[in-house]
Amino acid sequence: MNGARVLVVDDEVHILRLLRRTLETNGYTVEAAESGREALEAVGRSVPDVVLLDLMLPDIDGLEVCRQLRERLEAPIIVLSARGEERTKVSALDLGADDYLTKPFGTAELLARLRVALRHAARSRTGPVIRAGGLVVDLDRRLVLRDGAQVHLTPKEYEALKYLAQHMGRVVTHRALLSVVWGPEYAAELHYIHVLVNQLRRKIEPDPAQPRYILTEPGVGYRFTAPE
Amino acid sequence: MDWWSSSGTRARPMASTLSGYLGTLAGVAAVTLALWGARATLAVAPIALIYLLGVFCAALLWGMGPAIAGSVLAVLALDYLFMPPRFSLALQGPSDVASLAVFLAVAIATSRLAAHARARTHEAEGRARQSQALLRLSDAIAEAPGIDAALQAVTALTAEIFAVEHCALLLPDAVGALTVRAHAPGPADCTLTREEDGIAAYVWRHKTPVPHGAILYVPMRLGARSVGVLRVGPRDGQVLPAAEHTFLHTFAAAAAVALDRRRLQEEASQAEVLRRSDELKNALLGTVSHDLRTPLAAIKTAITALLQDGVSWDPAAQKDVLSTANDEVDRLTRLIDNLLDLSRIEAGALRPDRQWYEVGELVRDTVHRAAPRLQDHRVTVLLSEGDRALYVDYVQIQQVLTNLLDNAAKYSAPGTEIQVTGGVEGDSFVIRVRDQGPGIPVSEAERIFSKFYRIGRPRTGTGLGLAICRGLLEAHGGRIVVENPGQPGAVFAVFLPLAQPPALAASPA
Repeated sequence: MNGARVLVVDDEVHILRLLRRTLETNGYTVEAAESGREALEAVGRSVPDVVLLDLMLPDIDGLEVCRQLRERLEAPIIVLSARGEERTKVSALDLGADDYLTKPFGTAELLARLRVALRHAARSRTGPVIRAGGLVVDLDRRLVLRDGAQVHLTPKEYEALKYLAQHMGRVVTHRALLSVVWGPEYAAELHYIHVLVNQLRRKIEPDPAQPRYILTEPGVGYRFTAPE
Repeated sequence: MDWWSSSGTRARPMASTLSGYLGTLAGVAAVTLALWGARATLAVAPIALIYLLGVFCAALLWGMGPAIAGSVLAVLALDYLFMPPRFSLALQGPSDVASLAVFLAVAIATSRLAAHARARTHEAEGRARQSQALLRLSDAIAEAPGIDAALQAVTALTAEIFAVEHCALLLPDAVGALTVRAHAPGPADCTLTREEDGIAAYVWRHKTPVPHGAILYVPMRLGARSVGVLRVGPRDGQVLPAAEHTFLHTFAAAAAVALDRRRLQEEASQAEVLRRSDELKNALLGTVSHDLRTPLAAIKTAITALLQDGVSWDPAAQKDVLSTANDEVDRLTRLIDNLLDLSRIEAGALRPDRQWYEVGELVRDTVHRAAPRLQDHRVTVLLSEGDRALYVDYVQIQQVLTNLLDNAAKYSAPGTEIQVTGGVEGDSFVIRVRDQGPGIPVSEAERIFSKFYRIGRPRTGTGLGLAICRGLLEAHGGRIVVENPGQPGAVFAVFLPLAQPPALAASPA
């Protein structure tokens, strides 16, 4: 991903400077914006490959910036927020952000999230067969194999797994998953999702108590990962 | 219209007087009829005594006017029907005249005495009712949980005791404008018209009651100043009886006194809260400034060391210095997070974002996430009914359990076991975290949940973890206790209320 252009939006100049240094050292090209307005102007000039967006901005509400960026951009957006702001994170994700990082974060975590976001953007349309560890989701044949053996899923379990797998590596909010599986009119019935995901884990996880594929993002949603 | 003498005021006493006269008339007629039947067997003297008894009863029942009327009727009936010559009012000689005169005198005297006794009884009853009403008022104000509830109690009691349809209590707001602060029945959401505002302000300034149609504005006086205004609207537009006015004034004044006392109490307790929060701030500054500075000092040392000119670090040493700084940053982050959580809890700003979660998933996920810090211990999880759904804020309950697990690891020897058990008990789901450490002394079992309290040893904690646990659980309607103070191997029990999860709609899976 060397050379990928990152738009960093943060009103703290020190953080901005450190992020620029860190990202440039790791081979990224960095464009910086110190306000929501600057960010929106920046994407008008050149299209970034990925956006790092702090939600606490001096001028426009961070969520609004997120919404407007999503309208203009295909590129993944990673929002930066403080701890304890799960509701804000969830709103940002529901408004089109792809992932979030909780401040303060380590460099390794930041780089990992950037890699996932860019990899996903590079093949934004997943192929007909998604593989993660010993798990295979065959979208054409609506088949799920675990270590080569077919797993029998209910239609809703299959829809949930399909959506999670298509968004591999990225966080999927409870609400998003619920809308996909049940339809938007059920968006308030979040408890359905917890029950459904637990059923799904019992069928696909080697140890449902310590999930490897479907990870819980506390208070936000779930993340499908491929175990290393 | 002069409200005090309006027709409505007199309507009720007049009606009752009229019925008294009619009753007396009917009574005399009935007695006369009965005596007429028995006239052959009775002499005039017992007949007169029976009439006297009737007059006495009338006086007790209806007061003096009807009784005197009854006396006159009785004299006429005696003379006309029972004293010879019958069917004539003519009297035979001075002895008959004297008899009737004495009868009339005795009847009137009896009437007066009986009526007086009756009035006294009424007065006493009225006073008893009024004292009871005043007592209820002061009790209600004293026992109300807050000043708003006290105001509400005043309007509710006024409405009940004076049997009026509605009652509003007006107090001056921050800029001195009278506003409805409580209303009975129902919430204080009514606003007054401009005219009504004017009347209320007049009553407030002049401390004198003013009627407006059937509605009465009464000042709530406290000595020479006004505390507020009561606005009373009787039922069906009927005006409050005059006899009740005086008492309504007394009632309003008593309410003013009790509310003022209540206000003083509130102010005193607020001052106490402020004093205590001041003490808390001092303690906080003391502890926190130390806990904040220590990691900062370490970070500064590390960074300045690496920034030194002309010193070349070997990579291993450099990494060592930096990872120390990194650890200290994590510690600082934890402390600040804890402080922010605690202040949000105390300000009541940390509202749980509750959803239904399977308790088993929550517990196992928490243990899984804490695993790196629990490496030196064996952690076992044993849940019965782990598939029960709890209505909780996932992140907050996870934090409670994480704090307990971290404490267990911190206060027990490496290699020992940490047990997490859980199950339904009564109307709660109880999660217990048990370690093999020395346990919690009896004297500390309660104090450890207060802020900045640390049991002797490790300096690694912030002294806030358990206070946060308690605050988060209370926000969930749950609680946390040490179950075995004084015994080795501390057991912390977390109680979370069980509720009925909503049924899943058709074919959830």
